[in-house]
Amino acid sequence: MKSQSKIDYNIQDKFDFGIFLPALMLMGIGLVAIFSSTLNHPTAGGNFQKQLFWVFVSLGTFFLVYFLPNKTFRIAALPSYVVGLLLLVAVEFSGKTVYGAKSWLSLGPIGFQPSEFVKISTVLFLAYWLSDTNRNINSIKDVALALLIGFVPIVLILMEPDLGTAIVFIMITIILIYWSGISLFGLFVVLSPGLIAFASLFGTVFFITALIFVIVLLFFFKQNLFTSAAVFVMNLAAGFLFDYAVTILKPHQQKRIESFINPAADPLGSGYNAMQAKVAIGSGGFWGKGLLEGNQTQLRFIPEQWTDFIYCVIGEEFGFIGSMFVIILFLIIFMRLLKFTSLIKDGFANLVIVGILTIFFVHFGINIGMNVGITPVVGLPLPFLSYGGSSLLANMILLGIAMNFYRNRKRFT
Amino acid sequence: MSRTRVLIILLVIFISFGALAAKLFEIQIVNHNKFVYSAKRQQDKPSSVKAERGLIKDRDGMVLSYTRDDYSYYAHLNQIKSEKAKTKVAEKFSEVFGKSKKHYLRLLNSKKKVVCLEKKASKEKAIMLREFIVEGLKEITDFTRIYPYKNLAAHTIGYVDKNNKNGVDGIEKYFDAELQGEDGFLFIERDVIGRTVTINDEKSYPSIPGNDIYLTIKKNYQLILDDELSKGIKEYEANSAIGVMMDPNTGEILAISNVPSFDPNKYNNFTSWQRKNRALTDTYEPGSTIKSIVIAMLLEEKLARSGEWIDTENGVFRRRGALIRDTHKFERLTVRGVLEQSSNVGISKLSDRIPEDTFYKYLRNFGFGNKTEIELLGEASGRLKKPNDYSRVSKSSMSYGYEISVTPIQLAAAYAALINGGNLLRPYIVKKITDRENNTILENSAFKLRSVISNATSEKLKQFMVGVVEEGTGRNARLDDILIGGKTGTTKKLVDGKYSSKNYNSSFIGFFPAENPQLVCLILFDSPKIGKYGSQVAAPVFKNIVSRIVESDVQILKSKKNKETKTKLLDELFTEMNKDQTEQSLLKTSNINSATGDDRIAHNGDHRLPLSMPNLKNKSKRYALNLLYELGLKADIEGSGRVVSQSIKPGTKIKAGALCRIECSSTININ
Repeated sequence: MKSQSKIDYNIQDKFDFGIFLPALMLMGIGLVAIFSSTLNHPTAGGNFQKQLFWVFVSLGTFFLVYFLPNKTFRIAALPSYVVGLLLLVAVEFSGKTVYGAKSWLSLGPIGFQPSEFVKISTVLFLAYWLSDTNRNINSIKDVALALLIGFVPIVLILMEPDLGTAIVFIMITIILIYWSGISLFGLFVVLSPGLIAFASLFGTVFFITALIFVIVLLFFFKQNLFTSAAVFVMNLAAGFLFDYAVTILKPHQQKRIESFINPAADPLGSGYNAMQAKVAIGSGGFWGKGLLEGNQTQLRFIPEQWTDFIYCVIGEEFGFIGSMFVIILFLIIFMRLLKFTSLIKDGFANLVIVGILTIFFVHFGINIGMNVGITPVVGLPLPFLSYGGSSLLANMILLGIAMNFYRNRKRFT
Repeated sequence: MSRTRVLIILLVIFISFGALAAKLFEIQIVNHNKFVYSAKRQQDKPSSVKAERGLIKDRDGMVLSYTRDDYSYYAHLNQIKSEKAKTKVAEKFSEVFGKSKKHYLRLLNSKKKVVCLEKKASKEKAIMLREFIVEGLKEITDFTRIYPYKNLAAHTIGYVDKNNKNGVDGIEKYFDAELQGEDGFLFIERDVIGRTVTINDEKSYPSIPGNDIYLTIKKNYQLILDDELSKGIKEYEANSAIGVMMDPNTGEILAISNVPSFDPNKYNNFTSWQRKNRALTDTYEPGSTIKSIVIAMLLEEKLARSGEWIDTENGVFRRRGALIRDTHKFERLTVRGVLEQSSNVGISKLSDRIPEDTFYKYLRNFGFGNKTEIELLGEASGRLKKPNDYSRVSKSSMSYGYEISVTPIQLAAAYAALINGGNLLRPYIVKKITDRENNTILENSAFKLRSVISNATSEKLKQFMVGVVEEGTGRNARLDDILIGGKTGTTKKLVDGKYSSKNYNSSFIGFFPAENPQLVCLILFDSPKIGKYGSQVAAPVFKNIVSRIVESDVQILKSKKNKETKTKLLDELFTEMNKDQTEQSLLKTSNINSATGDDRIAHNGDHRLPLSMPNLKNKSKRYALNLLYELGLKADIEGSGRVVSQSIKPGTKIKAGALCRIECSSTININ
């Protein structure tokens, strides 16, 4: 009896069930939702089996990563980053276009999205670079280099163009720089262009208002005139560049941004998914309609529901209870990851874990946000639940890395 | 520092979590009902189910007008945007309909929101497109009213408007309410591209099909009448012709024909004159055909005896300033002879004996000057002068058919009274109305308006008119083996207020078999260029009609008559002319309208049997029934909806009268 509890303790000591079990449950719920939304579907009928296959592959990979020597990630950081960028360049030239974005590479019979794996390599490399003791995150040079590391994949991904994934990379870069201990002014310099860009989306009035806000803050920080002017020009440029970036976006993505601002404007066009997702989730009510009973799902009002709109299958068929259960599972994972940062006394490991947390959180927030209608429809899968091998594999690798750090946490001092 | 970082991230996570949870609460709990409603609304689209318009059939059930389910295809261009989708649609439609791809691409690239790619495509095409599902391409059932026999009885049947909804003329209009039925509603659960998934039976209610109308028209007689009138127009180079056939014992109209006619399937291609049922909308001066009625008055009022001699002045007689001429000149004629030889002088002199009021009363009683109230639109009442308006010569003129105008239908009804024992019957054209379950809703039968002459007078007139055909002006209508009675009529047409010397109305009204009349038939030719008299133009056409009817319809005569029996009958008729007791036996009629299955098959001789059995699978029940009927097969139908099986395999040779079992099912195929 005593030894039993000791073994249990030892396992928890090396392997955190607080992360693993919620992830396992999410994958299970995902499978059920995929089953429900693809049953009798003319083209996606086999997706449940495929996903089941990927669940096993991912679990295998997860344990593989979990048992890797701790040094591996440091060693692999730079090479994997370079390979990742090469893959993104390859996609530019020979990628397959799916839903308006050229984001797929074919490897024999299976296709995969390099951007999913570049997320891992970018987090590893950025964490590796930032955790170097020689860095001073408050020096302009190092911030600029850190931003560069993040922005090279961002530009390549924007060229696909895949807005959702680009947002993930932007967030990874910003959060990791922030975690590295940047000063408030430094953070302001990094963040303000993004703010300006976002404001410009809503029109000139918002753009100018945001610029005035930036000027006010510049006075508040009391930096020298040259620095202040440089930051202001940077902001201005960001606004115009973003405006330009929007114009080079694919029409379907422009529409999605438009429909986020006014979803009811074109209910049969790009706002269609957002409206239908809301209708599906809303009609689910408190208890839901029951498995395979969701008519919005079963009647296929939402196209490709098993990918980005998997959450509304749960919302419709399992109601408020089911929807809350899913976000609570995510919350547990986020809490555990955050806890890891205080358990693991290593800069690199902490940065990687924060990067992983960022990836999961941004996917989670944007995906569920667009399902319930509070964020634009940008096309990000819901980790562990959405159909798709690349995404699931990448997420389980990320989880494996975090767990690997947890297993080896006592080696760091 | 580290603590703040963690706290800030924690804060962001919880704020996001809170926001998502709040939003979920809002849409799933607070506004739950609103979204349930939205979901319901887009899933269940009630669609009205057009009621099937009733059929119009002839007296034996031959379908003269039915509704065919056609399919129209509409493209919603806001859903068909990509070039690929457009090309796909254009290619498929080009393949199915044989038009160029460009044609469809042009439609698909138009600026409109919805374009019609194909209007009223046939069932066959629809089946070819059944598996072709493209978002934004909608199939809509579009009904087409079909008149399978084209111009046959077109004026009686009428036609419906372009939307195939409302009757515009004829029976289609008169009985529009009966035919329309009641539209139903289907609450259909649909998927995102509008395909039916299930039907909510609780909320749906079916359409009630319109009632079927059985006309008194006999398709075969109608065909013969149409055909012979057309031939007559060609032969005598007439402008137009009208024919009316009536059962004198019931008042049932067996055929109404106006030539030139029109095709109600494409009524727009015809003039309003061609579409007009001139047999009841147009009046004409009946000429000598009215003489029988004047003679009937004289006999009924005992103002003349049939054997009484009348001085006919050798065919020319001037009275009160008017010159009266006879075509056939006689010094004197008996009263019967006046009718047989159609002497204007004789009838004019005889009419002097009738008081004006009596004269008017009889004409009025025979139905002139009044609408017959037949169930068709636009009937004219004709013109019958009142005695106050008579000039000095009015009565004389009217006695040989001028100064009075009648419609062909009125005259036919008057003649029916003349020969049926003296009862004026209301002519009618609808035999019965039944609902789709074949329950009779209305059934018309002979409706006697009044007795106008005695049975004895009627008998005498019948004999006189046999005389007209056997020995008088109606000889061209004579047949060797059938006893026919009738009267010719020729009038100058009024052209611009003057009587034309070129344009005549040439008519003949006759009945047969005279010993037991089953049919009275008026033939009227307008302005024949070859031969002007009714005896030359209308009488021979009448004869052709009678011989064709007798040939095709064995029931009209109890047994095939030959020359001897006819001579015997004729002798009997003339010797027993004044013996009233014979009337009883002569008037025992047997109805001809007992239509049997055998009768129907006889009609189908036209269809050149044997044919091979068509494939009825997936056809509507109604369509299958019509087809079987056309083929002369008996049908035994089980279930409703679409045909799923048939007992006679497609392709096998058909034996007339064979029984074909058909199973129908209304299961909806989701695919």
